[in-house]
Amino acid sequence: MLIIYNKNMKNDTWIIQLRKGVFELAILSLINIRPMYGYEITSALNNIPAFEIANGSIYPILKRLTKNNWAISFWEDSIDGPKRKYYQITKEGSKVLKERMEEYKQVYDALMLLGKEGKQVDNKG
Amino acid sequence: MITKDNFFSNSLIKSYINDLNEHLNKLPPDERRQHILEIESHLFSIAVDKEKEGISINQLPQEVLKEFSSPNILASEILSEYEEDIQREDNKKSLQLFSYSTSLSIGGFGAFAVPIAYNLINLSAMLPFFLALIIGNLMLVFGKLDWNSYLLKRFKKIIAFRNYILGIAFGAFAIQIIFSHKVNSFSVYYLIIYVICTFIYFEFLKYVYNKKNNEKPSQG
Repeated sequence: MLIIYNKNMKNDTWIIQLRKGVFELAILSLINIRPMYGYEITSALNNIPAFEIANGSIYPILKRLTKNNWAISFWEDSIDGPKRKYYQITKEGSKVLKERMEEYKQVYDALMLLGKEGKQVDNKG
Repeated sequence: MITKDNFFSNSLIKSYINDLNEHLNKLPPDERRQHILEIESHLFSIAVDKEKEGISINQLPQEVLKEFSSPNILASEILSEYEEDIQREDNKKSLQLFSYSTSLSIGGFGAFAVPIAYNLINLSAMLPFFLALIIGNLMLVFGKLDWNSYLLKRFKKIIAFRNYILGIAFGAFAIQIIFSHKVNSFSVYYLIIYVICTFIYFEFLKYVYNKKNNEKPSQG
């Protein structure tokens, strides 16, 4: 798992930038399972501390995903309330998700390795 | 149990939606409507969940909005995704306004060369051109134009029209001589005044160009 969030570093711009990119992947991962609507995605993300997001802030990201043709949207009636806009991953979105996940994993593994080797060098010194 | 009607008739919710709608006014109506509908659906979903948690119907709107980004923050986040489109649309509007302004201004001024050929001036016939000249220049100076590099380049090209305008004036003078077989003093004096005014007018355009170039807000 990627460790991308540290409560003491909440306002660090580097963390904000990192999270911005990671959120796209997190949302793509969710809608890769099945089509989901905004509130559903927000709730799913908020269940994971690293992905806590204010209600409403998901929509600019969803707009970006549809603009990039990584997701498509469609409206569906809801039994108890207003219509819901569902988001579904596209083939291009699936490809991007797969590629970027691999990239993240490589970077993460490399960072962990550096961390371990750094410790070893430090112990030797 | 909360219903769609009583939730959206609440003044807090109404005000939130209205504020958001106003902040999103730069978006095309259909895009704006889609965002508003989606946010409404989200607000209602939170309300349903909050009600299940035991929060009273009266307190629901307040509790729901507590968890939501403020309308201006949410709108600015959404608008940031449309930045390029908005900029493109603004540039298009600016270019249109610039084309109207310069057409009125240059066209209006050019029409003042006609009396040289006719050897007489009809003030009432010239009035629309005089108004076009004034309106065109006012639009150029005070109009809401995004003076980006492209617009300034176009303006520079327009300023180079001076020689064409002078050509029209001298052409009109030649026409007057060809048709009347003599040089009329009115045409001569009018031509001299027109040439002087042309230099003054284009100096004014150059001044506007330099002023706008110095206060240029954006590139592109």
